Amino acid sequence: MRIAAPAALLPDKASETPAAVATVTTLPGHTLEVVSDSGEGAQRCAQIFGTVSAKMGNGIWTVEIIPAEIQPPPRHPTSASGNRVRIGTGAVTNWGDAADLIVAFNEQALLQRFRLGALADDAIILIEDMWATHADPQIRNAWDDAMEELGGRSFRFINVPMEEQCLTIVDNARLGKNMFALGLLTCIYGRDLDLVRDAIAQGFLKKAKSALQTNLDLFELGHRWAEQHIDFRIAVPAVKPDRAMVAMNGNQAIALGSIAAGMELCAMYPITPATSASHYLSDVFEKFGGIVHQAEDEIAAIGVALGSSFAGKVAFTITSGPGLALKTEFIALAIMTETPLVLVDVQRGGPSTGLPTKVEQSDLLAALYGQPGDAPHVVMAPATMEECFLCMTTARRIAEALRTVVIVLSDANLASGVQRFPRPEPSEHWLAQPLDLAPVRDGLRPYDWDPQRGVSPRIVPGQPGGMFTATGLSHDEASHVGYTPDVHERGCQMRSRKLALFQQMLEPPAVNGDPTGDLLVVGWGSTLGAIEEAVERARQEGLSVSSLHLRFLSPLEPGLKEIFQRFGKVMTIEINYSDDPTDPFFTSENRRRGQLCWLLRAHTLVDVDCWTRVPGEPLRPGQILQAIRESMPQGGSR
Amino acid sequence: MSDLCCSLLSSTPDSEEREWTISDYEAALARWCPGCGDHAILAAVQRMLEAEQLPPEQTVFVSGIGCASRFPHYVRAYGFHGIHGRALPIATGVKLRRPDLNVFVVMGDGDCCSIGAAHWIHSIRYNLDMVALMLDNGVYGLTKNQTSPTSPRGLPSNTQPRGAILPPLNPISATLGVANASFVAQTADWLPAHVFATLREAFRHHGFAFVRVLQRCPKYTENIFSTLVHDPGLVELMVHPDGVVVPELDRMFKNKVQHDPADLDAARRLAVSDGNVRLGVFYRNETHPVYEETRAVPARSAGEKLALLNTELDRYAV
Amino acid sequence: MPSDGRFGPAFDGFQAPLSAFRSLLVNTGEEVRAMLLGRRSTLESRAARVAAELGPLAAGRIDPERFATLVFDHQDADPAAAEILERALDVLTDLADRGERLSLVQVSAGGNLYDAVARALGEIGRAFSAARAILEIRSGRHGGDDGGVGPLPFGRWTKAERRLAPPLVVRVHGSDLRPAALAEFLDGRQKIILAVEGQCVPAPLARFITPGTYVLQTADGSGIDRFAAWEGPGIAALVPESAAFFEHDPAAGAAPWERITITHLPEKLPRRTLAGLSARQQAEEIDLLRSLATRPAGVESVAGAPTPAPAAKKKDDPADKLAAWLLSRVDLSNLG
Ligand SMILES: Cc1ncc(C[n+]2csc(CCOP(=O)(O)OP(=O)(O)O)c2C)c(N)n1
Repeated sequence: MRIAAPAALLPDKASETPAAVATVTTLPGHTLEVVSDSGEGAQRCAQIFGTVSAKMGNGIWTVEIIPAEIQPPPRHPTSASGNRVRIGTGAVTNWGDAADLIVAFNEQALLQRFRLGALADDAIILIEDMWATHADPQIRNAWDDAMEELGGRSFRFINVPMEEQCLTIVDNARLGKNMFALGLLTCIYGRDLDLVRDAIAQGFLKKAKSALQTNLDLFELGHRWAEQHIDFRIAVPAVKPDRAMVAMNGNQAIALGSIAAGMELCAMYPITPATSASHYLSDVFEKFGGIVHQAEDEIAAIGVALGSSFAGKVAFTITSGPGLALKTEFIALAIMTETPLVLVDVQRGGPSTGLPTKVEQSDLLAALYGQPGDAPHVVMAPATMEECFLCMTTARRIAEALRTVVIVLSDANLASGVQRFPRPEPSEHWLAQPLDLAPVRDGLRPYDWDPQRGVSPRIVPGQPGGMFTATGLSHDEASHVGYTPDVHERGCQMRSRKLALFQQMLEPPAVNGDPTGDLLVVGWGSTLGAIEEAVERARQEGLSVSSLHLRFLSPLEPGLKEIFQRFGKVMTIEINYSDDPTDPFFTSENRRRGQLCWLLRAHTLVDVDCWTRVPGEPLRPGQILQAIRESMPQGGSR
Repeated sequence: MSDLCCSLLSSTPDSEEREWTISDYEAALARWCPGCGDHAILAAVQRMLEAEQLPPEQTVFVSGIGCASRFPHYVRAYGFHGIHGRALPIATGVKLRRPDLNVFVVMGDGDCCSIGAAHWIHSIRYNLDMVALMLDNGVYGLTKNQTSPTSPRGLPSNTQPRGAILPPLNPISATLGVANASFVAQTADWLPAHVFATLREAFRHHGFAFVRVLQRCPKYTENIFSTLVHDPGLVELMVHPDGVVVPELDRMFKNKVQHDPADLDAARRLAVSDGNVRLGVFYRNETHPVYEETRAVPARSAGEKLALLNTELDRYAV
Repeated sequence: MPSDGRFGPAFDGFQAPLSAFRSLLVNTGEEVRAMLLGRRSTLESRAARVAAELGPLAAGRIDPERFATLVFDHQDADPAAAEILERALDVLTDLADRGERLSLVQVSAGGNLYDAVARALGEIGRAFSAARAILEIRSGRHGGDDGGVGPLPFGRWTKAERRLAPPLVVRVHGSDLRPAALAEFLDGRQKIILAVEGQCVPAPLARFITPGTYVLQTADGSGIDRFAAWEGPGIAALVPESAAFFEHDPAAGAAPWERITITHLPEKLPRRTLAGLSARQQAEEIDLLRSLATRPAGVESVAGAPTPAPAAKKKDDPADKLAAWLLSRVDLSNLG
């Protein structure tokens, strides 16, 4: 027996109204999602939609919705796979709050998104309706249950006979619905048809012509269906940017950035979510004279990178949390031997295997302090896809100049999200200097530290007259092992001093908003866009809030204490775990705080507070806004 | 080993006329215990460097941690004294992008067969053109007498005072069992002429040359090789024109076996000890691809890189 | 890619040395470029350069002037030195741009083989001249001369240089094939491949057989891969079917007969003078080859000598194929 759907839930009768009378709503931005079972191609559909939107001049931000398994069971909430795409008239800096429109290939995927709070209260839902009348009673029941759970809200349902329509062109509709859905979206959002066709064709460069034609036909079919059956259109006006733009995800940006930085070796061991950067590099690196070496484990990977760097070549290694843990001993060796090295950590949820595909910012303290012994080094964090690209050059140059390790902290949000940004203009200056094997001048020792500054010129194998043995043991200027207090203390001093020197080269961070106020929100990494959007909205509400975003976490950017003192309250916003002070047992004494918060408190002696969450997804600006509202210091202006 | 060269500026016309003598390879005075087999191995290595006239600046010794791993400090060349068990990855990195350098790796038995075992196995597979020496004293020396994976069963140590519990692993058999094994030899510190000849073959071999050197530790494992040292009858020399030829030893060692190092099956049989300890080249095969050659990529000028990068960026243009 | 599927692979062995030499030129050129940058810098321009090196992310975040104090530059503003570096860089870039064409020599009809080879090697030698000029400057020894970066004849190459130069492929007509004088170029790892057009004497390379030189005469390119892989010097000729086919592999044994494999000897003895050699002289060369390849009676063979396989018959002119193959690689298609 079928449960009667509540009135509000009754799908619109697909009206036969032609496109001409569809109402057009013009908006500054819109967020949509496409979800399916994994393997049904929702991601491809959404990616094309995102790229085409960027090409038309919209700002975009896309986020992957990934099931945990490669082949999850069909029609199960955990199987939801797809993408969110947020488009805007201006730049889009984060994934937004909730989806305004969703295309779902089955009701279970839809349900999952609903349960995760991903849908706006008045979201438009385009749903494949074959399940409602499916021959299998279990499926029909599941549909009914889902509809009941989704009931009582102001969703607008539009039933779409995707299967039925696709079967007019292909035998297996499972493989065609994504193009049909792309047609729907193209019509609803008024996307440029030729750009979409081109983008579809891009995916078939190496495949049969007939396959491309089938996909194009499915796309046109979806477009026509929407023209005839959907009575609204959404216009997000695009402004053609005045400069060339690119759109890519953070891992592609890191890969391309490493090429632009003149890197010659990427040594890695596969780990989500870092691996895709090396996939891309494996494809293109060799023609640039570089190689990707897949080592036997993360330890070997950093060892190989370190060996190449010792030999004067520019190498980096890329990993995620569990790999970072394995690399710690080698990181310290690189620091001790003052061998330049760039290490990229694309953070995921932890501890342990944690949330392999999901975002978290919980490796900060491990990156800073994970190495037993005193091992000062540089830690930096890009905040956007563009910065993922640019930071590789900066990191490499710093590592070389200071003869130390630079850890770059990216995360799963940056890694898999696609953002549009101005096309970088690579310069020959970004490339590493070539090996110089000139004879070493007489008397130069491998660690001829400038006593004031701790820096020393570097010698590489092949240079006549420079022979020395780098060692992880305590050593003097000549790299001779020495265990006496003066040798060890001096070495520690020198390695620390150059970090202090570097800190003095950093400029104080810019404050977003007023330089003084009631609340200062501090963030790092991928949360930049969401934080700034929330702060903007809070300021519109009249709250006196500013924000500050750090790129250098070690050494910390200068002037923080002075900036903090200009605000009534300072609070970090981070994607890592902290105790909620209102939970039982927690006091200000035993409360475990966010990782940046911890660092800032120690560094500035300011009573910095934190608001952190570990939802396994990027923070939403609305969430942050709410946290800001609740965190306004007592008596703050409104 | 390699005439590959990164740049025309890496060797000077006058440096090549220079003749290197043994003192050119001597660095800090070795601080191993008196009577430690490492001294003799060091001397043989330095002799080999001289015989092959390897410029010290073109030569790199990489080691892990342990007594044996102090080695690079005592050779005047470039060196990297790394961390326990990880010499091979460092050496891989050096050789992979600087094939012009002559790379030697020195490890202890704990270094190679225990903590670094994964790297050992995989380095055999990579097959880079370098020499890896495993100085096997059957014990952890530096950390003062703990059981090693090559300790003979029953040998007491500080961690297994009632005798090593497990049978030792056979590093030669293990190496011979790995795909791409390229050069596998065994020698003993108390036969410096044999060490020298073996090292020279290892160096001249094109590929990853694994040499296990039986090494006496006078402090903790004095006895494990003493019968061998005193009774040459327990040692069997593997002889062949393609193996190690040491005429000086002909008289002393009556036990000889003709073994063609091309024969892998025979090598595997001989590697299994049946009371005799065999010295010489077990296996040698230069047909395996050498990793740094397989992975060699043409150099690109800055101009070429920028042009290619712009093409690559075009793919992401919107 | 080579135009002929069977023939090309035989020459793939040359890909590595050709590409290695080009890499050498590119790497050296890059070093010079860096030296020029470093030398031209004043403190101010150094800050600008450092800012550029740190990239846009550092703008407003790192003070380039302070960061520039971390750069250890050679300070040498001698304009004459800079000019020589520029010239050396031009030479290196020019040679790198020529790529594999650098290895291709054409002896025009009636031309002098020795001169053509000497000239081509001298051209390659410009790279070494340039390198030497750079080294002089780098060591601060540059003494006011113009730091000549002109051709450097093979005779003045160092031991290392003789191991670095790429192989030469020489197209020569059989009637101009007077190779004897080329012996002076067979040192280090230098390899010369003569692609002979038209008729030639039957064993033009027999006299080159010396213990350390790889010598190869072939019609179809077989053996070229082994020739290319040999660590020492070598000379090979791609000859017409009328000539002898043999291979002298220095690594194959201690005695000449162990090292030489003859796969084909011409049936008819030469009748007329060719390339300045009388019929008698030509026959002498064949006799020499045959006698070297024959084990003296009573001397034991080390291993069973393989029976010579009959050479495969090919219609196409190997010289054309070789040239086409090389030219096909000159476009540096691997750049894409
Ligand atoms: C990660 C790590 N674990 C343990 C040690 C302690 N350690 C130093 S050397 C060594 C073993 C040395 O034995 P072996 O490799 O056989 O070399 P030997 O000293 O006998 O030459 C150990 C366990 C260390 N330095 N690092």
